[in-house]
Amino acid sequence: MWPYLIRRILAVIPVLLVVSIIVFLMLRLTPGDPASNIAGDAATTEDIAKLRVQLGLEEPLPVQFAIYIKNLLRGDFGESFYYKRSVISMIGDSVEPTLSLALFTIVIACVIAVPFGTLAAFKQGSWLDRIVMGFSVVGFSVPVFVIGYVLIYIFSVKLDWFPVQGYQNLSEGIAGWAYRLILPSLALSVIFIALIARMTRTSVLEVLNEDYIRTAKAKGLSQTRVLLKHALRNAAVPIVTVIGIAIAILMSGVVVTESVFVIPGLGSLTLDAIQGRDYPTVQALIILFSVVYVMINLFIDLLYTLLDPRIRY
Amino acid sequence: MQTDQSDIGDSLIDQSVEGDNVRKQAPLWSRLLRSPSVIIGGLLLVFIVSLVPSAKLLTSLDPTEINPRNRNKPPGAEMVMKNDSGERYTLTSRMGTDKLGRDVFTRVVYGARVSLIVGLSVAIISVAVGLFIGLIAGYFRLADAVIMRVMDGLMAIPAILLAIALVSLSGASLFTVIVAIVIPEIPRVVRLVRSIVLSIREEPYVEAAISVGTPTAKILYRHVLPNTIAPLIVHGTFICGSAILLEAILSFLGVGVPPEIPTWGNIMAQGRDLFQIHPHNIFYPGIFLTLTVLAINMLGDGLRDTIDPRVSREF
Amino acid sequence: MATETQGPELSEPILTVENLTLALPKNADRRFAVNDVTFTVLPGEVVCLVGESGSGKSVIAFAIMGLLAKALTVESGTINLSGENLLQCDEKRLRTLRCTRMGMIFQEPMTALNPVMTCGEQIDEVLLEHTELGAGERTKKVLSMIAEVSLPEPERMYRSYPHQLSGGQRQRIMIAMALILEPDLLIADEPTTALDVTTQAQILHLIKELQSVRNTGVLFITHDFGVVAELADKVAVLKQGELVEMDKTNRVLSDPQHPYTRMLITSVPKHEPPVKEPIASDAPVILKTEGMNKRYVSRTFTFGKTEVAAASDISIEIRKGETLGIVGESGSGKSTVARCITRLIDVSKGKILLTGTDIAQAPQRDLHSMRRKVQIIFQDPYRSLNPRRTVGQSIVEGPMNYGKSRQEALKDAKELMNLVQLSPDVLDRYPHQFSGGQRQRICIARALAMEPDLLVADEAVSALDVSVQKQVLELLAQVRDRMQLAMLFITHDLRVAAQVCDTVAVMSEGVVVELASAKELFSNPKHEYTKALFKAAPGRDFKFAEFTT
Repeated sequence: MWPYLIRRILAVIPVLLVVSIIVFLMLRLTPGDPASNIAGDAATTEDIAKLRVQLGLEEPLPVQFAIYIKNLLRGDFGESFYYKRSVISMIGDSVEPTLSLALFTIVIACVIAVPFGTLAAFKQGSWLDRIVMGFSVVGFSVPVFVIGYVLIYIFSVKLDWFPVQGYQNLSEGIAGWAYRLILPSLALSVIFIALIARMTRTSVLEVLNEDYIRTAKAKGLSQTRVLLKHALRNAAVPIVTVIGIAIAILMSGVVVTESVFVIPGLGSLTLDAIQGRDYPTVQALIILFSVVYVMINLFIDLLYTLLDPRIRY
Repeated sequence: MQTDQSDIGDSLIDQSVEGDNVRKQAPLWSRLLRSPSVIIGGLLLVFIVSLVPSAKLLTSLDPTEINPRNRNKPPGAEMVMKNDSGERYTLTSRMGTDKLGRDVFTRVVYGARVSLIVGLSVAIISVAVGLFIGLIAGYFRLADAVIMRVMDGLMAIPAILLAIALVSLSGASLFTVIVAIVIPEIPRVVRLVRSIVLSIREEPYVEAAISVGTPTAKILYRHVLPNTIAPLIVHGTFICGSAILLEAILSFLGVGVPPEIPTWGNIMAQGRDLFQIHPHNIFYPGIFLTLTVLAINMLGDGLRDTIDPRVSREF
Repeated sequence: MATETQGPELSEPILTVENLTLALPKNADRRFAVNDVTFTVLPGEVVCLVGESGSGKSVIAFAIMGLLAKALTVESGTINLSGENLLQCDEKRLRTLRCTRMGMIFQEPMTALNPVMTCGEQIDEVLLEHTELGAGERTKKVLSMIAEVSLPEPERMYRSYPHQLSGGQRQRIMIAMALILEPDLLIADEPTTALDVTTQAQILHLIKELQSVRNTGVLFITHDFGVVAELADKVAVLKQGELVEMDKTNRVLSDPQHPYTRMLITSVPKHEPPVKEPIASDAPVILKTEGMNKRYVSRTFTFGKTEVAAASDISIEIRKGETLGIVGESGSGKSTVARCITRLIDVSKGKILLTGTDIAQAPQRDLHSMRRKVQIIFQDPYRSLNPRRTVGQSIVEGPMNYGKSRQEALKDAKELMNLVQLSPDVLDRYPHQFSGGQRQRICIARALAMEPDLLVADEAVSALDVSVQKQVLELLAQVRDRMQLAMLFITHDLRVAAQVCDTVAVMSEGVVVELASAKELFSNPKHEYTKALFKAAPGRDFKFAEFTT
């Protein structure tokens, strides 16, 4: 267990290194001079040249890279070009809405998807199965912003049950916070319900064909026991995997959802930063998202060892 | 010679399910046509694709023509138009107009073109590049270590972020949008191809080919490559669907194809601020976008169930 | 042993299967999986259902348990378990009967146990479902049952997960599970087929012992006449779903009435090597290995490296026209040797002299000329041919790699098809149109097309039914003699080795423990392991194919 743990944690390093190299190269090798972008249209050539020196862009690429890595290792992500604030503190301010949205979404998705996926597998070919499968195909295909606008139009504009947009901090009351999160997280959860339900169904179906299920039946166990104790327990690893994938790709959906519902989270921050070519912020955000992705994968791998005794490392 | 029993009977009688053995079965086309997903998805797709060549027949208007007189008309309203000789006439706007007075129906019809171009080119490019890299990674150990680390790194960055960053850094154009969507798709194709190569190279028939002296390049071409085709067709279909979605998202967020080009994402982006009063700007392109992606996904599901049940749907 | 146990005749049968007919789905090759089968099992009696693959023997077992695959339907007949027709029972009643009145054990003890539950929990579940016992009593009973199937340290076994046990131990857990409630009937579906021969002997012994103590009736399904001779009181022979013969074991084995039974029994290879002319001592040596080693090293950067020796210090020699057999149980390293010699894997140390040239450390690019001299036939006929290429394409691939034109290669391929007793007209067909035995013949043709000096057969007949096995073995012997091939024959089956090999090497844990001529090894084994192996071979004392009439 411990050697595995250490090995697995160390394996994170090359991935993060590759990510930082990609980010570094992306920001420097794509056409367009950051300095002239930052300086704006009114800047003179001299201004830009001055800025280039200031930003360290005149140094050779390897030197820039060394400085960049050194700063990353120190946890120094620099200062936003735009807001002249430390990037870290800006990220800190935007974490809460994003985290709340992600948490709501994933809880809704799991609570709906896992039971329905399991039932669909158990009653393969039934009307319930067809509905679940049908929903999962449609759920994959409707873009989150379309769902978002449909929900807003029905529940906010027409029925006036929910506010159209916006976010309320948790510190201002849990009821208001939850109330404003319902629509955005419902919109975002559709695709994850589709994904998780389908994966749950597939894994349970696969497990139901295993020899040990036949053994369990040959022991005269009841259907519920066969399903819960034998099938679901064995299907847990692929289900957890797909929930992990869902959490990891949740970040992409968050950007869009935050934009539709005007939630001041990391997604909105990213969008503003990219459009404003606020390099330090973009850099920090991409690295942050990647770290989250890598950590979730790590966590899932560790969870396997609890779920499946065969996995020994 | 021993009695020859068909494999179907054998496997049923032993109550064992044989793995990948090719069974005697109906030809591929007839099996495909028996799948409801393939038929519904296919027909829907034929409808959407047919919008592209018939755009000029469906509408006489220019999708980019700004007409302040016709701003924000609801669906079914009359538009006042001027023909070349300056005479005025009225036309019914089927889906209303946007805040610049452009006909939404016309823009939606022309928008299909961009979506389909993006979907198809992203699918073809990412499958081709991913296949090439995946074959190398699967067959050559040294290359594998390096390639897979890079792929892991690319996978770690959320696809939308990567695409947004690439587009906004290199300037919005149809070409950069396609490249920006291709790059995050490649690692997934590489992983798929690599896993197929790794499992096929353990097959006894590949070892038999090695022992009759077949060179590596020929083994890859003859014995490994054919096994990747079915899964790649299926995976390529799904890529096509998600590329169309991603293009719409990028345009919607304002970091995609330049706003003057009519795309479904752009139409929706321009309808955002007046959404509560004029929801048609968002709903009509949204419906077409959804139907297109749905058609492609259904086709993909049907293809997968028919030609390659092993591919699972992953992101 | 199949002795004259008296007594059971007098009592009522516990299981009566009458005119059982099971229909296959419409698109299958025949209408019925099982057609009009009738037999009984008495208390304390072991009845063997024997048949080749596709005979329908397992289907009968599943029909009795009520676990028939959905594609199969009961057409007619009855299955009576102590007077109750199981085919009339609803699912609830069947559940009550399972494990209390009828228990079942399966072929693959690895996959038949739930990997995420401890063995103890899995046995305990039976008691939980079918009895009113409290937790403490249940645990006590489970532990005593684990002890009864002769597993060491019952407490540890209770807490173990299936993957932590050996195949034999897992099968014992299965037996404990099936017998803990002392059912009247035990159905065993090829329970020893996946096990090594020594383990098989122990499991057969255990079943026999428990069965006679409890007076359990056993329906034992097998394809192996050795096992039948060892275990059965009565034997029923199935051919394509029909019961062709049923009687006391001794009678059927020594005086089979039906030609099919007769053919099956004659196909069982004998335990004694046939008299063969010895290989001339001046015949050229084709293959010689000196101290060949294969180690697997797994490195972890935290805790150094661990080494596993898959094969150590292998020194063997094969002359032209000679067959060297390597016999061993799973994990003995016999296949590793085959794969080293064919250079499908790299050799760690030692020499492999192929007609005098050392190829052990030759780099990949120098192997091209060596490849044509050594050809290999694999175990699984279903995976040895590329399903997407015609048989002809597979056969001509090799010769064309060495510069033959397609026409020439195809002409030779046609002749080879004649040689392996297949029609030359089928070269443009795909592998799925052939049966397992035919595919193995095609693989032999593919190997022979290279005109090799050495043919390596890695368990080449193990996946085949006994009658097909016999034909393929005859074919191999024929081509060896005609083409004067040197042959390396890897097998786990002593009987097969006895029939084809001139010399036999016995391997255990990566080492050759005994190497002698077949004649000497089989008549006078020296090493303890060889002796144990011989002793475990089922039905060893029975002289097959020496019929009284």
